[in-house]
Amino acid sequence: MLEIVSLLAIIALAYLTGWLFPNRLQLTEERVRRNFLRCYPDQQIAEIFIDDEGRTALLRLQNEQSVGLVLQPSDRIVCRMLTIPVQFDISPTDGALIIKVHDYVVPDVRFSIGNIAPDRLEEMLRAGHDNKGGQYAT
Amino acid sequence: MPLDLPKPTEWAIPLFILCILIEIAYGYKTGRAVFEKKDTFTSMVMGLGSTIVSASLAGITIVTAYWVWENFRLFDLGATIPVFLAALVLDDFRYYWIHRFGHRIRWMWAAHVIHHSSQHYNLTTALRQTWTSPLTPGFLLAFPLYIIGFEPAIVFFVSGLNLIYQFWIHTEAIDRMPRWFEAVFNTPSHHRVHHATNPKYLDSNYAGIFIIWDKMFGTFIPEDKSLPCRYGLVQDLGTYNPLKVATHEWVGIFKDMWHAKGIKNKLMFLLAPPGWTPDGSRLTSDMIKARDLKYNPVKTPKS
Ligand SMILES: [Zn+2]
Ligand SMILES: [Zn+2]
Repeated sequence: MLEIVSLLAIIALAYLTGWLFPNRLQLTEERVRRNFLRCYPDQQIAEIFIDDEGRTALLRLQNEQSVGLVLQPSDRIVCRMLTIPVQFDISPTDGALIIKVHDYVVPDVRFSIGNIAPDRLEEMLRAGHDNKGGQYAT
Repeated sequence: MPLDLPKPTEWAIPLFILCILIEIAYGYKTGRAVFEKKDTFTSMVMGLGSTIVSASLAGITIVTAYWVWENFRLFDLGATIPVFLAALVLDDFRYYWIHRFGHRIRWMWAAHVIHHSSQHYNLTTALRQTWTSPLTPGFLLAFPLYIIGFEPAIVFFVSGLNLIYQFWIHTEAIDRMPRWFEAVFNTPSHHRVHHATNPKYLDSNYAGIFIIWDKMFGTFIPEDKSLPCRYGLVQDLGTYNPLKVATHEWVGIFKDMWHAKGIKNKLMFLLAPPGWTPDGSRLTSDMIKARDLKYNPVKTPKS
């Protein structure tokens, strides 16, 4: 019983913080670049694609065997470099790509591609995958 | 008959909630404390889960501790005020080492990483506690205290006080305490550095109550105003799912050990520092510090 009451109190407190500290931050090129290079200072970014909702960014890197992924699951940023040992699958849906990262703590990502030419994204996402025999599941 | 002492963490809970509400109000007014809905929820659920795990295992913890104390103690120390004070200091010394091992041995990091998994730093972060410490050998570090002769109830009591002490230091709302206090005690400033992922700050300030242990054993790094702390993990979590937060490093260790070639590599994945791999393809904190020096060399003053 005490546990249930505690859980309800926690939910109330969480909603209170959500109300008082609304999260309006979106990804921008500057935030994506700065945070990705903070995590991977030895990488060079060639191009940044930010999804329509400003929550996910894909990065083309000079090292074409890798793709950068920058997420904003709440008000903070999470970066990953998807190299050959860290694989991912992509499946297109309505105006979006679903990116399934093989990482226990990265949930599936929906990347809305509104005004980004899908073939440019595909070309980039294939670059790191072609050499290992069709991981790219479309 | 074991000493019947109060459980400090239980009677501190209303105080914790009150302090969190004050910090939320202060953060809302001044912007000097930041909260986020999912982060708050996860931190507090981790705290609730941790108390449930501790309560479920209390029986076996008490029986084991008393068995060691009754069979192996060197002295009968009794329960006087000086004994309580000595227990508080020695238990803090124990905490320093368990915490240091918690960052340097992946097996123990698997349990402790939970406390560092928030990218925020506020009083709810203090409650983001592990669910899995009973799966590590950390409990063995309390045995020397029982063998010296401290009654387990006294050790549990002072450990509770230690945990309560560490609550208030999880805040950005307090800048610095008076100089003498900063010199002796762990403070929000020292502990912010401990939670920071800036390469310069990694693996420092393991103290519980007394910062003197870090100064004695070479792990003290003061907060540098020109380098604001950035909190979280060197590889931050993309999830707020409490079950995943609690288990992710264990899953990682299991996968790595499963795929590792040879018994030595399997053991190294358990016992080496987090980030260790046989081929150096991931980064340990030492490698991150070295990489940082390459990109941001320490500027020596011109002579
Ligand atoms: Zn720690
Ligand atoms: Zn802490």
